[in-house]
Amino acid sequence: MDTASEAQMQIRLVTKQKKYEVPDTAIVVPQQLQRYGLSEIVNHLLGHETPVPFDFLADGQFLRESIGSYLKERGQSAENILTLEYVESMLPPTEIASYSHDDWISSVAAISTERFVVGSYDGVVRVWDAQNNCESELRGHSSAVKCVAAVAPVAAKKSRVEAVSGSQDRTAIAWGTKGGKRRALYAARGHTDSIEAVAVNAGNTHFVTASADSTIRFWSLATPSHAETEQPSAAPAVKRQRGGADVPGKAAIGTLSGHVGAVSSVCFDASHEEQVFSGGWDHSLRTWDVASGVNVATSLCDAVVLGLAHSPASRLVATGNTDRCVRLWDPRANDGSAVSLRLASHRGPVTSVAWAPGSAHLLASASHDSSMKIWDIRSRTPLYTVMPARDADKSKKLLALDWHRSLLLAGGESGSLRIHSVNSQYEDAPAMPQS
Amino acid sequence: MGAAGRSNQRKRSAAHRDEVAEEFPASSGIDVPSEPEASSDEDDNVEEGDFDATLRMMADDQGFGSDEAEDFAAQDSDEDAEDEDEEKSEIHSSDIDGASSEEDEEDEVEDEEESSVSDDDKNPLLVRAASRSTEGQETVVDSDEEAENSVLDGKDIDRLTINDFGRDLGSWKEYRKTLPQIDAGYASDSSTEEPVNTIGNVPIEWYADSLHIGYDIDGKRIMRPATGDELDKFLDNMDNPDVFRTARDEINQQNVKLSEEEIDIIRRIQGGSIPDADYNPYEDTVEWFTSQTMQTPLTAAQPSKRGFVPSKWEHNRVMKIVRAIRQGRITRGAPVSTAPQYFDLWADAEAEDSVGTGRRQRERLAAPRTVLPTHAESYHPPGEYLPTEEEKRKWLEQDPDYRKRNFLPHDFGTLRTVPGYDRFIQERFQRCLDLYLAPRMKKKVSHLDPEELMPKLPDPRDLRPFPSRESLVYLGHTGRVRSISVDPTGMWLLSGSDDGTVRLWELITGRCAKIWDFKDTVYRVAWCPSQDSCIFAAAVGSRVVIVIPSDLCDDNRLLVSEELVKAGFGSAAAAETDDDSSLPVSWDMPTSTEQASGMHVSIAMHRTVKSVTWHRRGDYLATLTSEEGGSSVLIHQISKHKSQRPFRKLKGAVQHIKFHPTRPWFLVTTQRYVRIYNLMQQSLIKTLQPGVKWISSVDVHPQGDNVIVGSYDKKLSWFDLDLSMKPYRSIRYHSQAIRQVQFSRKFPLFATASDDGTIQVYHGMVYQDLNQNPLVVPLKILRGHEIRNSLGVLDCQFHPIQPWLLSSGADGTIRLWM
Repeated sequence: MDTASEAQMQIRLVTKQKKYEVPDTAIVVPQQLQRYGLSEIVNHLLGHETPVPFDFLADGQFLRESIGSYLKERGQSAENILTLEYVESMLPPTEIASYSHDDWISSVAAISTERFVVGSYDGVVRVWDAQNNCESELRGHSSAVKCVAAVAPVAAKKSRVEAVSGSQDRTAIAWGTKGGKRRALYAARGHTDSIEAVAVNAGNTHFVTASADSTIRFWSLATPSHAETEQPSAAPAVKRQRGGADVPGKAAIGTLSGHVGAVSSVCFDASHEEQVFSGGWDHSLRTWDVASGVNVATSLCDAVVLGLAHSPASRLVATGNTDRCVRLWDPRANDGSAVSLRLASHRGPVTSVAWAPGSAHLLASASHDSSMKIWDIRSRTPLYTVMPARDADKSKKLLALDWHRSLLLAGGESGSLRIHSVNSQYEDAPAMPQS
Repeated sequence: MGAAGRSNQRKRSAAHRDEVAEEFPASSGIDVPSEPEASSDEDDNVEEGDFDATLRMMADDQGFGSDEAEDFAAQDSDEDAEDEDEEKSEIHSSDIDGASSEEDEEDEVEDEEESSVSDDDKNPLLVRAASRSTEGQETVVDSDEEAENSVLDGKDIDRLTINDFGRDLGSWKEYRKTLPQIDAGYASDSSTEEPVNTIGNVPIEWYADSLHIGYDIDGKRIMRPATGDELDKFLDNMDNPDVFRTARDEINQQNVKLSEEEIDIIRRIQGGSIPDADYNPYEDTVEWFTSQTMQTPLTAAQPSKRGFVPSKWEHNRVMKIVRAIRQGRITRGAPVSTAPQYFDLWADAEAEDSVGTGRRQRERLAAPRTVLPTHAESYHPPGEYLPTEEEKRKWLEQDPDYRKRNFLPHDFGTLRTVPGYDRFIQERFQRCLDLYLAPRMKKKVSHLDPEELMPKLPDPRDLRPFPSRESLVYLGHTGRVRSISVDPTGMWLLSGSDDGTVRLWELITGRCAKIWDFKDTVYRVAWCPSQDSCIFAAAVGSRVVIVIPSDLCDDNRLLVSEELVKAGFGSAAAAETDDDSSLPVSWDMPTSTEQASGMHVSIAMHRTVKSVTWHRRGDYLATLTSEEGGSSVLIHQISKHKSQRPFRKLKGAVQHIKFHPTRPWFLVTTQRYVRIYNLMQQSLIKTLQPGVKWISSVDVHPQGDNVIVGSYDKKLSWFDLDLSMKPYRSIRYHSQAIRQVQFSRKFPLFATASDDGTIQVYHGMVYQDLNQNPLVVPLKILRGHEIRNSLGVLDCQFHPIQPWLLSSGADGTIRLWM
C-alpha cells in the first residue's frame, strides 16, 4: 500500500450557484480524489437522489487531475485547506437536428430559437424554422453569400429588417417582411470587394460590414425611403446580374479604413454601442470607434484572424486564427500583451468562434478539421469536441457557427446545418425568457 | 702528478677496490680500504691514505718487490710527478696484456704456499679469526715478513687466502695482491676487540636452554663455558682479590677483568669528566693565523699582488656604471611603477599554453609508453595464441608495414631452446633511423566537437514564420495540376490542369468558385501582377487565353482590365502587317460563349505554349512554345495586341523564361545555362553556369540580385549575380528531379518542388549589406503530395501576402501549407 495514495487533506467546497450550496466547513478527503469523487461528495452533501455532475475549480482553473497531483504540480502544501469552487458540469451538446443544403454553408445566424438564417455559397439566404422547414429562400445575391447576421425579432418590428447578409458580389442585403412576404428591403452598396463579415449592434439600430477591400463600413439598419446609391445597371460595362439590382441601394454612414488587406471578421461590443472589433488578414485585431471612425487600438498576433466574437460578460475578444488556435484578447490591455490566452486543440484553421450568451467562460469554436469544440476558458483543454455524426462529413470543413441561447448552430462544407442543444443550466447563465 | 692524472688514478683505484670488495664480501680481514668513493673525494686525508694503498696494489701488480712498493708508498707525494708517465704506461700495458711473466713466478710461489697450507686447516679465515680472538690484539701483517717468511703463520694466512681465491678465479689474477696490514691506531675500528660471539644483539637469554651461547665468525657454535653454581661464584668472589674489577661479559659468558686504565675511564665517566686522561681541555691556543704581520711569517711566500693593487675588474665594473650614469641610462631613484600591484596568477599558464613564446626551453617530449608484452610474446604461449597455418600464410603475404604484429607467436617449449633474436640489429637500426628521421613531435590533441564543424546556422524555430504544415487541400481536378497562380490580393487561386480546366478557388476556404473548361491541356496559368486590373493568362494547348474573371473585381478594375485587353483590337491588324508577318501569332477574339465566361483575347500560336510569364507592370506577356530556334520565345504587348520576337537565334532548347523583377532584364534558360538579356539595350548581360545537366526552373529574388536555379538532376543552385557566374551555393537535398523553384515575394523564403513528392522550404535571407553573404537555411520538408507516374509536385507558389505556400501535384490536388 502506498502511503501517498492514502494521504488525506482538508478541502473547503464553495459555489456561486445558490441552489447547490453546501455548508462552508472544511472536510477531510483522500488526496487521490478526482473530479468524480468530489462530485459524489457534493451530491452526497446535497442529498441528491439523482446525482448532478459537478466540475471543480481550484484557483480559477479546472481541476483535471487528482487533488494530490494538482498540489504537487504547483508545489503547494497539503497541510493547508484547499478551497475548491464547484459548478454544475456542462453536459455534452446533443445534436437535435440537421438541415441539409445543396451547397456549402458559409454562415449561420439564429434570429430566435425557432428561426435560423443560413447563408450559402449558392448565393441564396435561407430561413429555416425549428421544424426543418425552409420558410423562405431569399434570392438576390449574384454571388456566394459569405455572411449573415440576425436582427432580434423585437427590433425587427421597428425596422422590419430580420437579417442582413453579405456576399461576394460586394453588396449586403437587408431582408425583411414587406407586404406579407419576406424579401430584400435594401442593398448596402459601396464595398469594392467581397463582403466577408457583417454584424448588427446590440440595440439593433446599426450594422457593420467587413470586406476584402480592407475597409469596414458602418450602416444604419433603417430602411431608406429612397435609393441612396446609383443602381448598378448604370455601370458602363457589360450588363451583368448584380446583387439586389432591383432593390433600393443604401449608402454607408461611415467607412473605417486602416486594415491592410482583407478584413475577415467584425463584431460589436455588446456593452458599448459604438465600439467595434475587427480582425483581418494583416494579423491584427483592431478596435474602432464607429462614431468618430477612429481606429482606437490595434493588437497583433502571428496569424490571420478568421473569426471574432466578443463577450460582454468577461469583456474578452475571442478570435479564431489560421494557426489552429483560438486566441483570447483583452482589448482593454495596453501593455502589449493583448493575447491573454491561446487555446490550441484544433487540427485546422479556426474559422469561427462564438461565446455562450451571457457567459464569461464558455466559448465554442469551429474549424476546418470539421470539429466544433466547446471551451471553458478556465481550462486549457476543450470541454467537448463535437465531430459530425456522418463519416463523410468528417473531412468537411466547418465554416460557420452561432450560439443562440441553448442552441449551437454549425454549418460548413458538408452543407448540413447542425443544431446542437447545450445544457443551459450551466453556471451563471441568466434565466432565459421563454418566447 | 697533475690533477687530471690524479683523479684518473683515483678512479681506477676506486674501481679496483670495488671489484675486490665485491669478490670478497666476507673477508673483512683484508684491509682493502672500502670507504665509499664520495667520501674519499671529500676527505683529503683519507684520500691520501687510500692513494698510498692503491699505489701499493699497483706496485704489487707490476712485480715490484714488496720493499720497493713500501718505499714507493712512503715517498712524498711531490715525487709522484716524476714517475707519473712511466707508471701510467705500465698500468696500461698490464691492463691490456693481461698476464705477464711475473704472474708465472707468483704462481709458483702460490703453489708452494698452498701445499704448506693444506695440512693445517681447511679454512684459513677461521684460523685467523681464532688467532685474533685469542691474541686480543690487531694483526699486523708486515710486508717484510711476507716476503721472507714462507713458514705457515697465523699472520700470513691473509695473503694466502687471497692467493687461493685468485688462482681459482683465473682470469682475475691481476687483482691478486697482498696487502700489508695497516697499523690501526687508537681511533681505528679494529682496535676494539671484536666479540667472539657473533650473535649480535640477540638476547642471550634465547640461548639459555642450549648448550652453546652463540656462533663465532665462521658459524661454529661456541659452547657454553662451564659455570659453577652460586656457591662457587660466592667462593670465587671471596677468594678473588680482583673481584671488584671484574665485569661479566654476558655475550661471551665470561668474566673480564678490567685494567687500571679502564677503571680509570669508568671513574672519570662517573665523575662527569672527560674519559681520556691525556686530553687537556685547557690547552693554550696556538694562533696560527693572526692579523699581525709577523716578523718571521709562517710561510715564505710573497704576499699576493691583489692584496695591495686595486682591482682592474672592479674598476671596469664601476666604470661601466659610471658611464651609464653619465649617459643617463641610470637615474637616481627607481622609476615608480604605476601598474597596480597584484599577482597575475595566470601569467605562467598563458605562457605555457603558447609553446615557444613563453619559454625558450623546448618542451620535453615524453617517450611513448611501451606496450607491455602479452601472451603472444611468450616463448611458450597458450595454444590459442599460436597462429594457424592460414594465419601464418596471411601474415607472410602481408606487407611488413601493415602487419599487426611484427612477429609470429611461436612455441619453443622451453626457454633454453629460444634462439637468438635474428632481427635484433635490423630493428635497432630501424629504431635509430626512426629517431633520426622522424623526431617525435608533441601531438596536440584537439578536443573538437564534431558539432562545432557544422556551419553555424540559426535554429529554424527562430526563422518563423514559414509554411510548416498542410492546412487545406483543394480537390476537384481530375488530371495533373501543372500550374497554379495566386492573385495579387491573395484571396484567389488559379489552377490549370491536364483535365483541360482552369479552376478558380477561394483560397482560404478551398471553395471552387469558377471552372473554365478549355478541353485542352492547360500548361500554365498566370495572374497579371498589376493591382489595378484583374486579368489572368492561361496557356491552353497552342494558344494563350486572356481572361477577366468579372465576378472578382469591382466596376473600376473591370473597366481598367477590359480597356487594357480590348484596346488592341482596333490596331491589331495594322500591327501585324507592319511587323514581320513571319511571326506565327494571331490575336483572335473569342467566340461569344467564351466571352461570356470572361475570355477576352486568344493569342493563337503554331506550337504548344509551354510557359507564360508576365512582366511586373502587367502589360507585357512572354510566351515560350515548344518549337526550336528564336521564335520559341515571344513577347506580347496586351494593350496593343502586338507580338515581337526578341531573339532571332537561340542556342539550344529553351526551358524557361522569366522577366527580371526590378530591371529590364529577361532570363532565358536553356538546358544548361541561364542567359540574362537586357531588353532595352538588346544585349546579353550574363550567362549563369549552374553546372547541371538539365535546368527545370529559375526564379529571381524579389530584390533582383539573386537567382535560384532548379534542375532535373536534383540540384538547386543559388547565384549571386554580383558575385560570379558560378553558383554561390549548390544544394542537393531532393531525391528526385526539382520541378519548380520559387521565391516568396514578401518573406525571406524560397521553396523547391520535386518529383519525390516533397516540397522543401528554405530560409533565404539576402542582406542589404553587400559584404554579407546570403544566408540559406533549410527549414522544412513538406510531404503530402502523392507520386503518380513518377511525377510528384509540379508547381509551387508562395502566397503574396502570407507566409503560406501552395503546391500542385500530379495527383490532381492543390495543397495549402501554412
